[in-house]
Amino acid sequence: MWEPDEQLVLRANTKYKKKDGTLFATSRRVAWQQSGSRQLHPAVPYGDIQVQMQSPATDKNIKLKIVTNPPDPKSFVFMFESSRALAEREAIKAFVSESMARARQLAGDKTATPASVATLTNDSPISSVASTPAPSTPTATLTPSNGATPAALSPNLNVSRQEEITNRRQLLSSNKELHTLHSELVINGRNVTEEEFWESPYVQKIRQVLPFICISAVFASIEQTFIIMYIPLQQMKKDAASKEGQQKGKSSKMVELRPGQQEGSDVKYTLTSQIIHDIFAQYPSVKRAYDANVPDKLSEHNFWRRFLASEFFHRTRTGNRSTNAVADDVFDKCLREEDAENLNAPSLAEYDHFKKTIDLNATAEDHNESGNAPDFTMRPGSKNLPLIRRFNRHAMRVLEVPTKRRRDAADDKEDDVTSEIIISDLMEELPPSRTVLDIQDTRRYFESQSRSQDQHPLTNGNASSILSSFSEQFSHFDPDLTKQLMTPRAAINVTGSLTEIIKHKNMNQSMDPGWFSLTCDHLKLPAQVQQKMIDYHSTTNEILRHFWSSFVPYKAEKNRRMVDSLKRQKDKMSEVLITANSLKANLDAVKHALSPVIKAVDTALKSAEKRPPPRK
Amino acid sequence: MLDTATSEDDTNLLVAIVDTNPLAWQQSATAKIPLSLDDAIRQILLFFNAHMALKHDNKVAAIASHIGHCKFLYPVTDAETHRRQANPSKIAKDANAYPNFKDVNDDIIESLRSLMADTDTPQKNLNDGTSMISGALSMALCYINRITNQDDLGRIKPRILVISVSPDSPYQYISIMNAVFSAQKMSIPIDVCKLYGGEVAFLQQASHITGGVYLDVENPQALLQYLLFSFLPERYARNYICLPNKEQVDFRAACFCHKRIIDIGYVCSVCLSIFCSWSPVCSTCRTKFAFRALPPLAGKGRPAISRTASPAPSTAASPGSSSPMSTA
Repeated sequence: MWEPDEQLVLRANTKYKKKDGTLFATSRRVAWQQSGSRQLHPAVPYGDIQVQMQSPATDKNIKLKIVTNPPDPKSFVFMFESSRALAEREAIKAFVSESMARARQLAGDKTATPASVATLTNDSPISSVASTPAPSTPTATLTPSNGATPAALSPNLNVSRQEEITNRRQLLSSNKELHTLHSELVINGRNVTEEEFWESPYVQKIRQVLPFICISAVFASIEQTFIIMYIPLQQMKKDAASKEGQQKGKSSKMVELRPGQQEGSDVKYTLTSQIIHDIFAQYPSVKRAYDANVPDKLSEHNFWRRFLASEFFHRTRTGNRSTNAVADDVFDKCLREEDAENLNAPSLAEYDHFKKTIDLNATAEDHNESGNAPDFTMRPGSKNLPLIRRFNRHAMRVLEVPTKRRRDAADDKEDDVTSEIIISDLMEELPPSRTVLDIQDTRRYFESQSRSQDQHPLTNGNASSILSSFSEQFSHFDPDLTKQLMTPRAAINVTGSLTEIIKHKNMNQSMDPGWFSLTCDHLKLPAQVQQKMIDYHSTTNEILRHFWSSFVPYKAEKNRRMVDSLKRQKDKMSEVLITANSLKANLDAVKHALSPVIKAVDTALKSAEKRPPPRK
Repeated sequence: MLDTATSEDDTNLLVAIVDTNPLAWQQSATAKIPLSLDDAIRQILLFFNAHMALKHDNKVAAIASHIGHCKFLYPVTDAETHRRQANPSKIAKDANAYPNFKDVNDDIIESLRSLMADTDTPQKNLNDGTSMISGALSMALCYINRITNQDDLGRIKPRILVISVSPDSPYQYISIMNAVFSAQKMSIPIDVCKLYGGEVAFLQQASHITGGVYLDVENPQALLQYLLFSFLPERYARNYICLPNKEQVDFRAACFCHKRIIDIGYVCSVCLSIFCSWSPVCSTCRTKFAFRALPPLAGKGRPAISRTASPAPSTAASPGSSSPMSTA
C-alpha cells in the first residue's frame, strides 16, 4: 500500500525471488511490487537500510542487494531485467544512497535536540549506516585538528552530551515520579530550567536508585519489551563502572569510513582528528607513511586525498581489490607492509605479556584424542590467515592499555603465575568500614516509645521491704475460690461499659462498609485525589528544594523565580481541593494531609520577604 | 506462617503471662480502686478454670513476669512435681473441687509461694523495678512452639494473654518487639489486659500487630468480668464475636529531649532519635550535623549573613503513604 504523501521517484522492472515485478524508489522507501499484485513487499524505509551492494559491472546478471539494519538484518536481492538494466540500477543505487544519507542525518538531528518531551523511540538514534561501496572520485574534506565545525571539534564531549540526553529521556520514561516532576516543573510550569532540574540533589538521588527499581519492574512483568530491559541494564552497568572508578577503554570498533553527502558522482568523506587518530592506531603503516611524507613531500590535504583514492584504502574497507584504483607509491608501500605483517606470524618478541596458565600446544592433542578434527585455523597457508591476523592485531591493540595497567599493579608480585590465576572478582570482598552507632544511653533511646515512665516510678518505695512483705504474705497463700469475688453491681457496670465500647465500634463499622479491611479506611481518599495530592506534594517539595538551594548562597534571579513559583503553587492548592470536592473526598483530610507542605511554603515565603533588599 | 484456619474442634492453648511485680502490685493495692495481687490471682484462677471448662481438651499455661526474671507457674517441671509430691503442701483439700481445676490451681499457688519466697533474685536485678515482660513473652513463644510441634494434627491453637500492672521498660524495647514480631510470624495473637499503671505503648503495639485484644481495665476489682467478657472466646469464636478492642493505636513517638508526644519533629539521620527542636549535635549518638538550622522566623532584624539554610525543614511524609508518625 502506498503511504499518503509518498512520491514515486524511480521505477525499474526487476525480478525478486524469481518473480517478475517492479522496484520503486520513493521519497520514503524502497519497495517492490509483484506484477498483478497490489501489495508492496518487501518495502524498506531508507532509515532501515544498512548497506546496499551490487554485482560487479562485468557480471552478466545485474543485481542490487539491500541489507537492513540490525537487530533483524534481512537482505533482498533484486535482478534488473530491462534492456537498460545497468543504467536503471545505477540510478536507483545513487538515489538510495543519497536518501540513506539524508535519513541518517535526520536521525542524528533528532538526538541532538534536547529531550524536552519524554518519548521512547524504538529506532536507535545513532544508527551505524554504511553506504554503497562505489565511489568514483572521492573528495576529501579535511577537518584540521584545530577544528572548523563544532560537531567535529570535540567528538567526545558531544557524544557524552548526547548520551546524557538519551539517558535523561530514558529515565523520564521509566520513572513516573520523575516524569511528573519534570512535566510539572520544566514543561508546564517553566519554574525550573532543564539543567537546574537535573542538578537538584533530589533528582540525582532518584537517578542513583532508579536502575534497580527498573530491573525489579522488568522481572515483575514479563511482557515488558526488550528495550526497557535493555536500558536500565546499560545504565546500571555505567553506574557500576563509574562507581568502581573504572575508565572507559579503547573502542573495539574498527575504523569505518563512510562517505557523507554524495554530490553527483563525487563522494565526500569527512575526516575528523578523531578518525585520523583511529586510522593511525589501526594502520601503523599509514602513520609511518604520514610521518615520512607530510608535510615535506605532500601537503596534509593531498595526503588524505591520495589515501582515500588508494588501493590500500579500498582494500581495507571492502576486503577486495578495487579495479579502478590508480597506482600510488606511498600507499602501495603501506599495502605491502600491511600484507607482510599479516602474512607472517608475529614474532614472539612483539608480545610483552604471556598467559602462563594457557598452553596452546596442549589443545592439538586433546582434539585428536577426543575424536575432534585438529584445528588448522592458524596453520600457514590458510587463506584466511592474513585476515585473522589482522583481527588479532586489532584485538591486541584494543586490549593493550588495560593489560599494561594491570601489569603495573602486579609488578611487586614475584610470582607471575599466581598473579594470573587470582581472579579479583572471586576474592572475598572486604566488608565496608562502618561507623559504629554509638548510642550513649539506650534506655533514654527507647523511653520515647513508652509513655508512662515518669508517672509511675516503681522504685520510689522501699523495694526490699515490699519484697519481704510479699514473701511473708504469700508463704501461706491459699485463696478460697468459693468466696464472692466482686459485687454484682461492679460486674454489671463493667459489662455495661464494655458493651458501650462494642456499640461504638459497631457504629463506626456500619458507617463505612469497608471498615473490615482497614480500621481507618474511612479516612482513605479516592485514588485519583490521592495521586493528585502526591503530585502536588512532590512538586511543591521540589520547588522548595530549589528555593532553599538558591537562598543560601543567594542567587537572586533563581530565588525570585522560585518565590513566584511557590506563590503559584499555593494557588494551585485550590485546584487540588476542587478535584477532591468533585470526587466527594473528605476535604478536611486533604487539607490536613497537605498542611505540612503548605506550612513549609509559608515559611519559605516569609523568609524570602524578610531578606533585606540587595544593597547597592 | 502457621496454619491460621480455625475450627470448632480446635484445642485451645491459653498461655497467660501474669505480671507479679510486687512493687507494681503494692501501688495497685493502694490505688483509688485498689486491687491486691491475691485478689487478682483468685480471679485469674477462676478465669483459667472457666477456660478449661469451655472444652475438655483446652490447655492452660501460666508464666510469672517478675522483677528481673520470669518463671513458669504452670505447668511445672517434672523435678519440681516430684519435690512437691515428696513434701505435700498445706493447701486445703476440697472434696468438692473438680480435680483438673484443683491440680492447676494448686500448682499455680504453690509456684507463687516459692516465687515470692525468693527475694534475692529481684533485688539483684532491680534496675528500674519493671517486670521481665520480654523474657516472659519469649518463654511463652518457646513453650507454644514446643507444644505445637508435638501436636501432629495441628489442632492446638495457641494465644497469649498478658495481664500487666507495671509500666513499659525502655530497656526491654528491642527484645519485646522481637518477641512480638515472632508472635506475628507464628500467627499467635497477643491479648493484653492492662490493670494498672497507665498506657503501655509496647504492649498496645504488640496486640495491634498480632491481632489481639487490648483492654484498659477501668475497674480492676471486677477483673474477672473483664477477663470473661473479653478474653475467654477462643480463636475460632473470635471470627464471629465482636470484642471490645481498642480501636486506634497511637504510634506517635515522644521527643527524646522533653518526652513530649509530637506530630512533626526533627529526626537524627544516624540513630533516628526524635527531637522537637533542632540542635547541632544529636544528644543520643553524638553525631554532628554539617548543616545549620534555619533561624527562627520570629527573630527580628537579624543580619542576612547569619541566615543559613537547611534542607526543607519538615519531615512530613507524603500524604499517600501510611506513615507511622501520622495519627488517625
